[in-house]
Amino acid sequence: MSLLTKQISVFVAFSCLLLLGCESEKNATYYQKTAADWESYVSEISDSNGVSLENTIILVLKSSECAPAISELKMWDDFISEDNKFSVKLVIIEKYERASQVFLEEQDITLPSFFDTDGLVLERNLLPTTPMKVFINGEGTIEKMGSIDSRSSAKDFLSMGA
Amino acid sequence: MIKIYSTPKFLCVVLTWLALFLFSCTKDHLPNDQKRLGLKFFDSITLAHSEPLFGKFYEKFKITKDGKYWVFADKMREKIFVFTNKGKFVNTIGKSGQGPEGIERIAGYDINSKNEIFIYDSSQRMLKVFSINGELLKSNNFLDQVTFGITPMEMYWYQDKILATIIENSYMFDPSNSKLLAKIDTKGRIDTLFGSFDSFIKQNNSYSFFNKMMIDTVQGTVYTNLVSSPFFQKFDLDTYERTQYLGEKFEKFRLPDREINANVSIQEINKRLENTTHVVSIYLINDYLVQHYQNLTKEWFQTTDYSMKENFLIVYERENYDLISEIDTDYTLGAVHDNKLYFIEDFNPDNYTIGIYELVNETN
Repeated sequence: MSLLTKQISVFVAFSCLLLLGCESEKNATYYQKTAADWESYVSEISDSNGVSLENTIILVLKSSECAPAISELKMWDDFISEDNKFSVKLVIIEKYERASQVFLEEQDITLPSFFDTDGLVLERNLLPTTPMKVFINGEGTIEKMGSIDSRSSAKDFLSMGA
Repeated sequence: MIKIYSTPKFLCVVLTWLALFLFSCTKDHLPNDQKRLGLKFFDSITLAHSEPLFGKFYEKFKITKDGKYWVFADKMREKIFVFTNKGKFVNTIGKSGQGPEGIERIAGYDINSKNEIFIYDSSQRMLKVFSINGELLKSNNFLDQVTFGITPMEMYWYQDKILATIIENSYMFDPSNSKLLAKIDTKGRIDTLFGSFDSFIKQNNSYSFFNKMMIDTVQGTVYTNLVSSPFFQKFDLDTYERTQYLGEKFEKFRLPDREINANVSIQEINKRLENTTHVVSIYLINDYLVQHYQNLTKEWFQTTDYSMKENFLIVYERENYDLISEIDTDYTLGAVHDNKLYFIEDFNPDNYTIGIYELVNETN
């Protein structure tokens, strides 16, 4: 990568981050949350009870997220059609449902989705920031968290090996 | 001597000086006492449904010079949506994807007096010119060899060329030494780089090199405003010299308490930017120069819901650049055309509503 390209990348990345809130910070305290905490949250934002989030990867991002986050969504969209062992769910933080639906349509994302219209996921301290993904294992505990930024494959994130 | 001090003429001089002194103090600290401006409601228009549906427009939009069309950039679709000034949907401009007509990332757009719309696609580094009906007129690879980056969404037509605020790549981490503006033709050839950053950038803790701009086509000047500065600069577009550095620090203006730099995490940057003010745009309206500011609230960072930001206007007299008024507004100022202010009263795409207002003198 040339110096010029690198500098432009830094500029674009910083612009994107500053303007749109593209974030990637991890925080270990959020590992204390459980599937029950997440299920309660999901039932609140979707008015649906009985959502099971065990063995589930939850992707949380704002509708105005940067390109790397969006391309990772597509990766998970492909992953879910190849692998039935895990479930993948998407939470979009966006006040207007129509904006979220246009986002999904435009990006051609078919993942089961929930709409968090008030940023409740941050208010409930389930995550330190967005865009982030959480893997809840079969025991209902948070096994892994990470930013959504296209840097790792689905298998890497789930530590399944190549 | 006693006789001189007691003359009516001497007393008159003393009283005049006293009055001038008192008035000048009042002007510095209570600008609203000089002239009070307000907003007068004029009309309200809700956009009709479009096909395809739009998702989320950028906060600012453009109005054609003849006032007939309102032109919005949609973040979700990466398309331009055109509506009439009555809110009726006309068409979209651009197609998703790559190639001459394809648009991947709208990073700037503007309309000239012939109602031609240029779109800068930063992802493909291409500049496209379309008619208002969506017909592609030109498409050029753009800025392939340049040594600067363009501030997102700050590009304007000026005399068949494009004026943009920039930052030179080599000064990315030291913007105070960078050129500020670029004049570029539609083939992507650089005409001139000129201007320099507001020196306030060294003391504002913000690490933000974005600038807003406004062209005065009558005077042939351009105003620029660093987003994290209360001050603005004025440049002559013939000589490219800075002619004035203006503005005042006002009470509501707030900078981050702690420095923001490249080593700080984004989560921490957002925290440090909570409840700070930044300039969204500057406009020339009647005899005034108006800065539109927003206060970035915690709720805004949590949701990126535009309506969670607090909006206010800072108004200067254009004659002498005295700060004369601060106006809190309930809505985001989206555009200014023909001395009317277009506020976005509802961002809900199912009820997207533009309120049209005028700036009026409320001083009795």
